[in-house]
Amino acid sequence: MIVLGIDASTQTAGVAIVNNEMLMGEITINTTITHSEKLMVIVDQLFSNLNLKLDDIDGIAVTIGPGSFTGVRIGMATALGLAKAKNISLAGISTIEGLAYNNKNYRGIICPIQDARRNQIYTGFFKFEGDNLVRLSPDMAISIAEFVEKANTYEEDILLAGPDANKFIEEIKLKCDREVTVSPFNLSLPRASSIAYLSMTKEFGKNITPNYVRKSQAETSYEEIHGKSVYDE
Amino acid sequence: MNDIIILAIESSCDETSVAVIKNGREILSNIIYSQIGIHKKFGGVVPEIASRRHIDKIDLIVEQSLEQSKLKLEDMDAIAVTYGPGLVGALLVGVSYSKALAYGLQKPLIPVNHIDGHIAANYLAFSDLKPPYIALIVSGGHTHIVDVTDYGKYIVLGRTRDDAVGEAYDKVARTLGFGYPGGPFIDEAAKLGNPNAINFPRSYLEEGSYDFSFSGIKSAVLNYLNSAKMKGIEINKNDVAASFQEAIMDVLINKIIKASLEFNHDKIIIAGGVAANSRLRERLKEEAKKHHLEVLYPPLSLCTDNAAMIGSAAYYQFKNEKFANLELNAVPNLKL
Ligand SMILES: [Zn+2]
Repeated sequence: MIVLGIDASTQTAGVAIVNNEMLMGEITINTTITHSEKLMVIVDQLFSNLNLKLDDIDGIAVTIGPGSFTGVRIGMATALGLAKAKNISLAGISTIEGLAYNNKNYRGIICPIQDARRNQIYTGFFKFEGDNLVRLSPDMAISIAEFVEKANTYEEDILLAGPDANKFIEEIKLKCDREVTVSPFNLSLPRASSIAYLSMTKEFGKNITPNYVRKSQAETSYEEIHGKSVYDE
Repeated sequence: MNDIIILAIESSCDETSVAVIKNGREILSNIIYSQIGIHKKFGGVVPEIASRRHIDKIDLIVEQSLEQSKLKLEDMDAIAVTYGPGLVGALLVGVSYSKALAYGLQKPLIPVNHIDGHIAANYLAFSDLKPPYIALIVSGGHTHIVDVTDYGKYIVLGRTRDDAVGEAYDKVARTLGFGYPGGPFIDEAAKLGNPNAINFPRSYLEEGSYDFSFSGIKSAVLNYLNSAKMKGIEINKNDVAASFQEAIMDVLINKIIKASLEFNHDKIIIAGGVAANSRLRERLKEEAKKHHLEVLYPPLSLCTDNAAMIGSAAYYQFKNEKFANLELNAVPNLKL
């Protein structure tokens, strides 16, 4: 199975083409240039470098968040458009799970960290059992204090993964009562290849749904004022 | 000549719309998913909520539009998309989707200016309409008078220096306690009121200018309501709505008629959401008649945002090969 992996949910934009266990090619760019201008360009570059066509792709895997709301949608809209053109199946993959997957050799608890601003992080708890990445919690937006409380319920050592892990390591180390380390820098960025590999353990279909983890501010304040969701009648 | 079929996508504000258009003039399908029910609750469009709806709906709306057109993606000659002006997050959904779709199909991608689309809505309504003519574009985001010299070619004669007409309507409607969007509510209330009850100011700006300013009348209405409240005077909302609307219409109609005469056009077209306003249609027709000018406006369904109008505008760009590359970005404040 040949899978095209796409990620644009953080500052990094990446595409990869994976044939079962083999990475055929991958482009990752980590700049502040908008994904809108670069994502399709690197998709095209990768196809032409590999001498492949969209027709050769059996499935498209894309990150569905959490991350930058706009970034998530650029990645997803791109995946949806490509999939529609050639009737290709899709798999939506958690950005957090993808970051955990980068650290395949680690034997403790893996917690990817993304700065979610407003004093929260996007995170989740994962663990490898053999080659399988096991999810121990849903993706969450929580404070560092809440994170430490959850982290302390596990017995194993903890690895903080992801591009923002370094920002929070000192604070977490101080409060956590077990060994906490940060994943090596070469594994810390989101990787489209990880998204593609992960998708092979998931179901492909025609629909993908974003998982922002966090509501928009307008939705939250509406609920506070009216005591019900804006989507309720 | 072969027929040119274009699939067009519009997501600049709170409507997700996809259309299939033949030769720029014939609507094979035009599906519009409106989010207005949600945004009403906030009294205006919430950008993040709009963007979230677009990504949830876009694929389905493309599917429905193709179904209605009875054509397949392979039958399309090009993909067209609105790339501005509008809400950046909302635009990006349509732009990203369309770029990927066009790339996958190996068809050209046509980047369309949303305002250009509003003008082109008239080509769908009037099969023999050809430039040149004068256009008045009035909506929640735009107020323009343009001299349309050819398909997709314009000289902008004037634009608003502050609020768009639709914005002024929304703000006045809110202070009168009407719902959102304000246009239809004020239009209805005005029918029951006296347009000469209150003399609100008309701002014509400098002699010869085709620009507009609507912030003055907006504050005049607010001041009127406040002072009535302080003095404990009962106000007649219908009279306020009618008088406000009349002041707006006086300025719009004065300038568009002047422009048609100065630039020697015998046709005026109106476009944009406010083109649905009954008083504008009625009064402009009346005034135009006096000067032997013809007035055209699209049916209500083509006044508000829709992808059919984008597909029509795109057709004339297709003929001139005005295509986009893979770096196409959303341009929220794109000018005409
Ligand atoms: Zn519009």
